Amino acid sequence: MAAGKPVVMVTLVSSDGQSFQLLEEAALLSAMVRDTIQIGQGRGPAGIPIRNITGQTLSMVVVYCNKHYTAAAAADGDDAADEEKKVANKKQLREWDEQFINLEQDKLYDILVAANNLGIDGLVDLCCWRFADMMKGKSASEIRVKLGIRDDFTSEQRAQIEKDSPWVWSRTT
Amino acid sequence: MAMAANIWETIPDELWWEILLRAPTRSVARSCCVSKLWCSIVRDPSFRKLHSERHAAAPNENDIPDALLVATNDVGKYSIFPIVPGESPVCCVSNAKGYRLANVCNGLLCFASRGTATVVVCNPVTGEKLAPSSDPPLLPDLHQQVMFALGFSPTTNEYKLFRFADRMIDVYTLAGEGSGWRRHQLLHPCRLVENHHSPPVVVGGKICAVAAAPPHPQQIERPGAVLVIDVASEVAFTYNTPDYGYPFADATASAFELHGRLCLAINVVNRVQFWAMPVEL
Repeated sequence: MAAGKPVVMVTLVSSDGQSFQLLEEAALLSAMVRDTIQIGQGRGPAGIPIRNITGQTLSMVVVYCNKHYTAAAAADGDDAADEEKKVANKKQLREWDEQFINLEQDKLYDILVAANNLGIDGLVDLCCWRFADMMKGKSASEIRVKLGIRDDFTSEQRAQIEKDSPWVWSRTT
Repeated sequence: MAMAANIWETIPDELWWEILLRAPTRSVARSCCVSKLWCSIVRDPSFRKLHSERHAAAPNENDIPDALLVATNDVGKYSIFPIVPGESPVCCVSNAKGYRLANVCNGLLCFASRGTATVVVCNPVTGEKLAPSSDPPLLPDLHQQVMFALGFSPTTNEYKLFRFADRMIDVYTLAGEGSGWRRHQLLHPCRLVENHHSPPVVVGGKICAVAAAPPHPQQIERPGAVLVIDVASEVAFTYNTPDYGYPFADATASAFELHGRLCLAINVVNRVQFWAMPVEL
């Protein structure tokens, strides 16, 4: 972080009234926060109300923003010279991401929807990768069970798909 | 908190779209029978375009099975299996009487039936099948041997089916609905029969096939010319096979692609010679 730069904090308030303070620059990862601040709101002591997102979920989102902000700030400070270090830092951040997102599905769902509402592209991307990863090697019915999706095909529609491609119902490694 | 079963169904459609975009091709193909919403997403042409671009740019190890086995059974049904014990077929072609694997292009399998002169293109990754909307025009001699090949042109992004017979090429553009079959004459007659040594290969947007040589008075078996057809322009050229040095010995040639060049493996006097050539028209 550049010395002498004033430290500006913002407060995010969850739907159940919990407050989270973080560096404004970290909060700017969210397009929604960015827009709010741009129209001159949200810097006051009341903070920015985040509707539909509980404190439990918002705390995770704040952790993500802080980590990614510090990583980006550190990368800026390093200059372009040390290519090796850059690659290592990137790898480290990716590993951190993987651990961070290794969640049970209810939580993952909450974070995905929160990230989408807040407009944090990196976090949406991360959640989507995690979901896509869960589908790997599973048959249609296993995917349905895993993600709790209701089978809404009529028996005729199902028969048609089964006829077109019998293998899609089966499991592969 | 509501029951998990309901939670998943309240995810906005555009997020399912994003999730499915990141899934490996096999999972996506399978997603068509998860729910109506998923089916509508994965069958959307713009989704498929985005998905293939993303996964072609960064190939995923889960996208392609290592090896495929093509099996046929008595009732004329083709099944394509990945070579993993206990697996079920990736794809089935029924009423497949007389069908043979004609060639492979970009991982797509082209099956042609000699008896009925019809073609089926199969994508073993997604299990999809595609047949041209019309059969190729009849040939003057119904018993004439023909050869089919599927080609892809990276410049025009088109898949075309070719049928070679004696002095004629019939071409059909896949996905170009309503275009039908077009006929071109070959300048040099070329015996292109189904060649089990060497199915046609696609090298840099050109189909290359080893033709059969004209009958030899001493019955010596040797490879004929190499026919090269540019998939985009449908222009054909022939090249002589390289001089492999044994004009009076039996020889067979197999064509394959190597680093964007056409390679010929010529089997003569118990040796295999490898020849490489760039295919420029």
